[in-house]
Amino acid sequence: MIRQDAIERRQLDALLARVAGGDRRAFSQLYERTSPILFGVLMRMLRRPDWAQAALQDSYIRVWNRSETYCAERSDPIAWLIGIARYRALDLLREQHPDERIIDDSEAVLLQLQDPAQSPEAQAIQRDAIERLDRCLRTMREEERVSLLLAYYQGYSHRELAQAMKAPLGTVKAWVRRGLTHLRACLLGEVP
Amino acid sequence: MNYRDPRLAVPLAAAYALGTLRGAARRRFESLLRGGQADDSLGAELRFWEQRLAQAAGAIAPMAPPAEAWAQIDRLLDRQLAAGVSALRQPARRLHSWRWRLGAGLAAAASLVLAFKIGERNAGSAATRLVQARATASPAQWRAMPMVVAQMQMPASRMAWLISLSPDRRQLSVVAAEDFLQVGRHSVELWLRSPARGLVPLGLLPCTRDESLSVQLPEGLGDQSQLRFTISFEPQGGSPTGQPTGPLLMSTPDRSTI
Repeated sequence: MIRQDAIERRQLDALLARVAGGDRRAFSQLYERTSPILFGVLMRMLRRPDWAQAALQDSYIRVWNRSETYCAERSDPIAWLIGIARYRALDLLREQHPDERIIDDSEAVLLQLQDPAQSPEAQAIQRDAIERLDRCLRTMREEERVSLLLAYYQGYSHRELAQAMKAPLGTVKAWVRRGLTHLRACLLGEVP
Repeated sequence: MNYRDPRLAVPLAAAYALGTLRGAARRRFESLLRGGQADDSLGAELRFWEQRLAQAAGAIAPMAPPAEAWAQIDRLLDRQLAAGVSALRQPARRLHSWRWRLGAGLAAAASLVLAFKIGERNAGSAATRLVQARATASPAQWRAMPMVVAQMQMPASRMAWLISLSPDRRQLSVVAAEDFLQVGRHSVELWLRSPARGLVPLGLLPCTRDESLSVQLPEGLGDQSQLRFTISFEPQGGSPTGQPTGPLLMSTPDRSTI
């Protein structure tokens, strides 16, 4: 479960500032504190430890090189780091041969995503800032919610979503598009 | 296309953050972000989605990565920094020659140091003037050259500045040795530490090659053999308090040579 209170955030902001100044000790501390979060996300997306490790390594090299662009006033340090890791994972997925990709269309995965409260780690969704996201996800149509969650957690493309959800490509694209539109409106409080 | 139009920006940014924007469309979006072809509304919309979607990662249990992952990152970083050092060798030679060019230029035109205003960009033209001045400098002019008092190189980084003192010991000049990567929405600030006055702000350090900062040496510093320079990381525009608010990035050794 990811906990990030104000103190933790300030500490991460300070570490990122020191990393931007070329401080490798701070970089090591940042890695110690955040790599389990990023590795968990990468394992969820890539499903293969060797890929997840490669993506993690690349991600932290990017963090070192881009820490100067982190803006504490406009970003959250964990969200910024997760963004770097997810984009690297997406790049890696695109570079791999499609045959090596594990498309999991098992009922277990879909059920877990449809009802996150059933999984122990997903209890975190009940907390604080995550509550609204969770609430919004629960108000969405099932196929829209599942397609968004599969795309986010597994890094699926539209084509892979169509395969996993056994639906035509155009239909899946429409689910994703409508799902994002609904989610944005809900997050902004424009719909209940 | 007009990417200020939210009808275009919103779905693009959302699909990019989610990861469903692929191929040429994804590259085009990244190009728009990098190139500033769109105003910041596209970036703001992307940040909205990155922040919100990252909350979904709260449902993922953290996992300890393999121990060798950090060792590999450390090695990759060493290799990258070594490559940087190789690349720096050329600028380092340039730094050496640039040091005398700076001195020669200032000697040939005593007022030149005053021509370097805070934040003024003079890459290219400054170098030309300095080379010409060096070619015509006389022994008397050499004696009147400013004294180099410190070269500050950030640890594990290419960021470096040369600090010199005018012949009358009243004016400090700080010149960036290289173009540096974007410092982001932050500034690096130079301080002078003296036993008599503590930390005295000198100004924001330039981050473009040949760009310089010129500042009067503060008064009442006391024993000049005890002065040290310190660099701190600050919000954009510098410390709002008159004292460092961010981490101190580096300091010159004790008994600096002013």
